[in-house]
Amino acid sequence: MRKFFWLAKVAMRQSLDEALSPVLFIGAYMLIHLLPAFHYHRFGEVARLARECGFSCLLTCGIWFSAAAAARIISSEIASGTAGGVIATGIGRCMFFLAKLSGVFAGLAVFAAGAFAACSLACVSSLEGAHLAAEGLQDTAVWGPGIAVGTGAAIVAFALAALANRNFGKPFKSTACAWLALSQVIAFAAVAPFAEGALEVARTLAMPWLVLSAACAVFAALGAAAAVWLAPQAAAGVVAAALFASFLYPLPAILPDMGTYWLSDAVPDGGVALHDAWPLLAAAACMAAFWLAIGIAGMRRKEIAG
Amino acid sequence: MNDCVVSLEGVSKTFRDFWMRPVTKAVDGISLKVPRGTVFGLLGPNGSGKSTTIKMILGLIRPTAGKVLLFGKPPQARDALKRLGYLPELSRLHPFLTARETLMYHGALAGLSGRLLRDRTASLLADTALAHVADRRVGTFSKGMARRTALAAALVASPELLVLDEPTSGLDPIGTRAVKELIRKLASQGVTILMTSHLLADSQDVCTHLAILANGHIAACGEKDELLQKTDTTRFSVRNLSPAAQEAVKSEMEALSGGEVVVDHPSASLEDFFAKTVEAAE
Repeated sequence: MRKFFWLAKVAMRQSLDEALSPVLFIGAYMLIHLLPAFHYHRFGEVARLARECGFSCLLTCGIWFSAAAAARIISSEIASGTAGGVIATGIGRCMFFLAKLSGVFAGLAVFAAGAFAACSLACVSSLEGAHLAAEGLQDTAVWGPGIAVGTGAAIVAFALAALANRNFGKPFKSTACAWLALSQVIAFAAVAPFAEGALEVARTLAMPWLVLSAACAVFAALGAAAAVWLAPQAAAGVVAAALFASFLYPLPAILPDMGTYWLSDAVPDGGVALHDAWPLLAAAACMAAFWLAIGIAGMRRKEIAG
Repeated sequence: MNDCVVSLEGVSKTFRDFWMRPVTKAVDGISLKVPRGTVFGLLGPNGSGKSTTIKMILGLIRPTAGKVLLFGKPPQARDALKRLGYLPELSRLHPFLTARETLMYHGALAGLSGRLLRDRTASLLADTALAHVADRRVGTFSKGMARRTALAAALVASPELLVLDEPTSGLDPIGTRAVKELIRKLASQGVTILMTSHLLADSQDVCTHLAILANGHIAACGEKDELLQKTDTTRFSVRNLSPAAQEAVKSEMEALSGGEVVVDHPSASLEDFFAKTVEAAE
């Protein structure tokens, strides 16, 4: 178990250390905060746009981050001989694959935690802004302080990661990702006491957030499995094709039906009911298990010639 | 007790493409044994099958034909693999880890923990001259430092068999010398070393046994001295012999041997000269 933990821990850092990771993190968090401010007037339902923007960013960036990280980590470790170096000293191939993917899931959890906090804060800001506008206290229906705290926290975290890299030699990408996610959690925790109904908003968002994170995890498992069997570019192509197919012709047993997961249709009333969420989560777990089995089968027979 | 650490019998490997069509026969029916306590050099030009042979020994790729035994067991056996350390040809370390974290990671994967892991890490950092950069990320290391870090990672579990794929590849002469000294030190401690190289001078310096691969076949195999010794030639070394004495000895020897006698002054190796010069300059 200790060996599994060490492999997963390093894989988590690898996933956060990917070149695109900090861009995806800061891009997603900033968009979650800013998109409702740009387009609020198009939606009649209070906080709906904030929620939709947040979940869209979570799903888009989460799939991109986790599937790309899983595919890249597995394929680069096999191609570069790093996997061979580990497996040649008695670590099982199955353990190696599962631990690496668990590390990516942990990286996804870091991203999703930040996205959840950012989305909650954006919804709270939206509600607070609408309330102030209704009382005639301001013209716009967005709450400036909420947006400022959310975006400001992200910028400060990014800048602090750069300073830590410059002054203390901390690895920039993984530090920035971790601190960006943490900044959103701190920002929400700082604002929540001053905004009415913040905890209720977070409670409403929790289930759909979990369902969407599970969808991202399925694509991460698909990416990892594809990377075992195929060359890196082909694996990326398979993930992209699978994502496309999941919108057009969903295959319920192996791919999430993105028409369901895309929550503009699924949560018009603000959240997924518990009894609706568990089947989705169970389905996602089955799909992830399917891709894990494919990946493990490939890993067992893989010739690690790198 | 089995005194043969690695044994290959009629081993072949054919690589196939995606459609399972044969593409390359990298290794073709080789048989060899690596005796315990030796430094065994697997030499050959690029594409001769050295790395493929090593990977079959490590169980990373399966032979198409023949039998590979590691410590008397199939190479996929975990308890056999746990007794070896492996330095891959390319030292792709995780760039965000420090040298210390890298060794801790590999030590933990080898089953070490707690104080034992910390002590082993510190001792290896000192042995590979990395103690002063222990807390620097390996992504910022020179090629030589990264190679030494990878070598330390291969040694972290105190292996009985150390498999080194091109251990001095990309190193400067000082780094090469340090690696060779470390190999000699490990060999003197009873560690069996199996190394591949296409740098013949390095292999000649450290290996006790050699096998030369060409086109997937073993072209020559045996103890280094037996393979390289010119038994029909005899050399004497004498210090401070005057020119007159040299002439006298030469005449006498020509009379005795009935053939030509060559008298010259031996040269220091370029590696020794380079190391001394750099040391003096520093």
